[in-house]
Amino acid sequence: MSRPGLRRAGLGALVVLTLTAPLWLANPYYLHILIMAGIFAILALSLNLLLGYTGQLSLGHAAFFGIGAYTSALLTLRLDWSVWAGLTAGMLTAAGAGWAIGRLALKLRGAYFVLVTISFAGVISLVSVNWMALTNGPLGLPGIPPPSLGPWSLRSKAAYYYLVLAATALAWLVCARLVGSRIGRAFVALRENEPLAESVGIDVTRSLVLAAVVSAAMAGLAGGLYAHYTRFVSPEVFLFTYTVTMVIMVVAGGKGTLAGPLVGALLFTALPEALREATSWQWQMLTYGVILVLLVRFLPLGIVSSLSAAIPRAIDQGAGPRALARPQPDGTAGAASSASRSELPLSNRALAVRDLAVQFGGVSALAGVSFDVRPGSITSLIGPNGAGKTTAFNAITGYLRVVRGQIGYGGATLNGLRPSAIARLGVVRTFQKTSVFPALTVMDNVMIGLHLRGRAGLVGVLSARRWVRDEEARLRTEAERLIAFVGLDRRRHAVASALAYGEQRLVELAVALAARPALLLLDEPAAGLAGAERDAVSDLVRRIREQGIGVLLVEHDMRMVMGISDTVVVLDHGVVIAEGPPTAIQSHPEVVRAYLGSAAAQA
Amino acid sequence: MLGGTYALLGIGLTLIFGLMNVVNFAHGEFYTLGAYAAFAAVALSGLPFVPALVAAMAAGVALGALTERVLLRPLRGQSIDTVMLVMIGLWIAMQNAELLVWGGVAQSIPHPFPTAPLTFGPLSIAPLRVFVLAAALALILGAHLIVHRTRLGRAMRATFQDPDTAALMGVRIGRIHTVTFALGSGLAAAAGALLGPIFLAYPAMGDLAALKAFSVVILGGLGNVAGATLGGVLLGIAEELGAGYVSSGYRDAVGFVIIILVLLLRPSGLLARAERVG
Amino acid sequence: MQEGELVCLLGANGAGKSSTLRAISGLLRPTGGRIVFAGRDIQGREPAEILEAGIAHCPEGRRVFPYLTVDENLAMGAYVRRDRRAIGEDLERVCNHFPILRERRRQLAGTLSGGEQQMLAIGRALMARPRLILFDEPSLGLAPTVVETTFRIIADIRRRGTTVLMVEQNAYLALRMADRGYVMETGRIVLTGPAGDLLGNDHVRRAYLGG
Repeated sequence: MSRPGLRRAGLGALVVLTLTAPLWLANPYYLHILIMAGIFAILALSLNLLLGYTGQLSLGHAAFFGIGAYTSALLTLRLDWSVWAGLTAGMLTAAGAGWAIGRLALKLRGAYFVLVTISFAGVISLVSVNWMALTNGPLGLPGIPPPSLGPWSLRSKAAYYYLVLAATALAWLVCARLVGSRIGRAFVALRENEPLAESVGIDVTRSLVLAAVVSAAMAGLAGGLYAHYTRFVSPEVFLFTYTVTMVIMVVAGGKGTLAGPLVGALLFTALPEALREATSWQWQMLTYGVILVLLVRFLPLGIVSSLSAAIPRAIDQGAGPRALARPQPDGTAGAASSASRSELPLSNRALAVRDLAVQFGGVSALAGVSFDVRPGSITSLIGPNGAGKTTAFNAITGYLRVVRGQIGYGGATLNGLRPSAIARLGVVRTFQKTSVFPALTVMDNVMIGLHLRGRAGLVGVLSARRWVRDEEARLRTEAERLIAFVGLDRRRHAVASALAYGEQRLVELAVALAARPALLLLDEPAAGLAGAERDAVSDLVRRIREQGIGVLLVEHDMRMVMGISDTVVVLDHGVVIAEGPPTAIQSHPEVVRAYLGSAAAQA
Repeated sequence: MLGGTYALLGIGLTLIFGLMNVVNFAHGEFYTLGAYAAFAAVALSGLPFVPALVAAMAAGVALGALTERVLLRPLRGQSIDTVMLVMIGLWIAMQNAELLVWGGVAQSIPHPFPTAPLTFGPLSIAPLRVFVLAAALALILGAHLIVHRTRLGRAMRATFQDPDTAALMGVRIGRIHTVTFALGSGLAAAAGALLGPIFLAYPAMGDLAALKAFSVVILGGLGNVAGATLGGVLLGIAEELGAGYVSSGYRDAVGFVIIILVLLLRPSGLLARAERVG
Repeated sequence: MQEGELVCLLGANGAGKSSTLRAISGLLRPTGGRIVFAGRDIQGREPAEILEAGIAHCPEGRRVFPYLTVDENLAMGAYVRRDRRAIGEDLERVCNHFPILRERRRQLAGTLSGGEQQMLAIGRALMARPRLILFDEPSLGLAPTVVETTFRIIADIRRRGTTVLMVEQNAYLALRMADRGYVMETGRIVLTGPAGDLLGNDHVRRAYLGG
């Protein structure tokens, strides 16, 4: 009781102090620092949404900031728009730029994404310098009006402080709601394991563009607030220094946490101001650089994460008490969801692979393979390593381009669809190498798997509608049911990377099942498992079949394959050399020669 | 002319970014370092120009090796983003350290070449520029020979194609990383020392240089020495055209636009080699 | 293992066979245990030292350097050696052994066929003049005729006095040419014995030969 109680008391005191700051802060200079910290906090929150949650580093955020600042400044100066309209327009313009960057750059990852964002900021900055007629060039735009509320002008520092405070709170709330929702889970899933995220139906493009748009809008708002506060903008707003400052704030505070950017912003706005008296600007920047290097090296998770190291770095951490609340113990909700499961029209869902061919750099890995998987049956794909089994998996689930052939599924054609679209049709796969969302708890892993079962969109999440909350609770119950199904109930809140290998494989299964497959493709689910664990997996696969789900299994353990399969398909060098019930396969002469070894024939 | 030094910058970075996959935002700072080291050697220590050039390159190599050992080696195997953040930190720190040491005033590096231009028919060119171009070409050729003709270069290429297998061949991977980074940094420093006498040395000179190096590398394809050479020349020409036809204010935008366009349209660079999948 | 022996290591995917080889050649640092080669402890040494001690590793999936030429790949095999003349002689010998490599000397290794890459990988391992060669799944993804050739070459290498430790999935082929075999399951050796005995062992037959 004492620890959470202390925490709540501390937070309460902080809120009171923040709300009354203009009253007890005698020196307006300190208030100025707080206002700047608030603006930077919005920026840091916006960058954190990309860097901390989706894992994409943008070094072009100064551009969104500058776009927001210039748009609002120009509209209020030249067209006499009200400041509020200007701020909104600035946000929207920045969001548009974010959309464009997201659309264009979403194919790129890591370093390339960074370079495109830097270049984008570079171009925008040069435009602001050179387009004299619009921006007044390097001289900048002076005399930007302050906002007013009815008859009152928010010219005073205290008034502006409350405005910025409200905006920061709003930005934080947007982040918190997003992060605690299925949208935020999709972001984190992409950061942690993109192929796995796609396999459970998360649309990479949509998610990343959404993150970029929201993030850019927030940066644009910060820019507008900055412009109307300092009442002057110049190309300096695009300075790379701002971007670096934002990055440092996020990294120092703790990327992927909700409190981190706030702490970072406060610290790194106040620190340089404190240093300003003592040292030159160069020393400050030099210190910045050194701090960044040291942080990454020794405190990679940031201040907030390191302080709360006891709590696993997970998405529920930021989502506040609501997300952490335990769902109802198994009861009505569970029954409802199993009822909805039986409504699924599974009967006509058969997979038909016809003449499938795949090539790698001229070498054919699959040369015209055909087979079927009937619903509610287990079909095993066996063959020597390199025979093309995993290639077939990748081709069926959209991870590979097919040269030739048809992949039909329940009346639809899977050819050319993205993995997430294929998952949406009910075809879900697992991966040969253990593939989980490593930094997240078992619960969060499965919650991500449940992505397609939720419907909450951006508007619903941000307005925290009742049905969205109900849906969230329903998903949690469903996640617990699935975790129990694979037998991991006791490990529900353990971080996936800390689990034993065999347990991780079970998490994978639970994640795949969460996507509600009608057809499940399992790639060596028992690889690396010991005897008893193998039996458990065999048993699970049988129980999955009992639910009417079709299973396509790749496995090397012949005892398991022969024990549970309804049909066995044997691949060798990219062609099917045999197909039939296990008993027939075991004595099939060609199979024995190619795969089982002629010793078996001698037996 | 400009293309030659762009190429030199690009080759250094193509080794570091293309082969080692380190997004070296501090690359421009090694260029700046080269210029100041040359300045210090000539103007302060009274060294002749050519030895000063060598000294500048040595400084780049030494600091590059140190950077790799101290900053990068502990981070090997970490995500590219982590490394990138460290390099941003180094960039900011180095640039401001230079500001502190040298002040914000641009320094001109004395050189021994006569100022009267050489005239070849309609062409006239300063002897300094002839020397710079020749030296740049020699360094490019040297780098190419090291990478493609020596045991060390072979080990470098092998290491960055397949580190595990290279280790199985007995290559000491750590050493190759250090040497590659040092070589890349040395080339950047050489570029700085060569261009210093023409353009003056000032602390922020590295920012644009780094941008241009990235454009060159991306244009030429990662890890491709020949590509970087071509990329350097192309960037030089593109900038002239951009400045001529659009506006001289947008000269530096050419590099940005090239990065964006090439990455979006042809991410493997102009001299793409066939990717082997699987 | 005795000198001149051919030993094979069997087991399912994920049983720890490749990890064993990687630990021997220094790519993985073992958390416990000893590896003794020619009377010396070699566990935890750098790969370069282990290669110099005489152990070469022909990795799974061949792993030739795709953007290096055939010649350069072979030269990489002799990377730790300084005796230029002898290296030249060995290069000749390897090229005589695998005439196809001589024909393709200037070609990038990535453009070779799977079988040619396997020859190159073996030739590259031989360039180090090893006393012990580790083969990891030499038959992986190769056509049956190429697999046969590969195994003939491995038998040949052994006949010339080089010791061979082989990880192989095709248990039957491997056991037929090996002197002794070990069977691994989830990181442990569960069975060992002369290859002939293992071929007849019920457990092995069920799990790996599918009988």
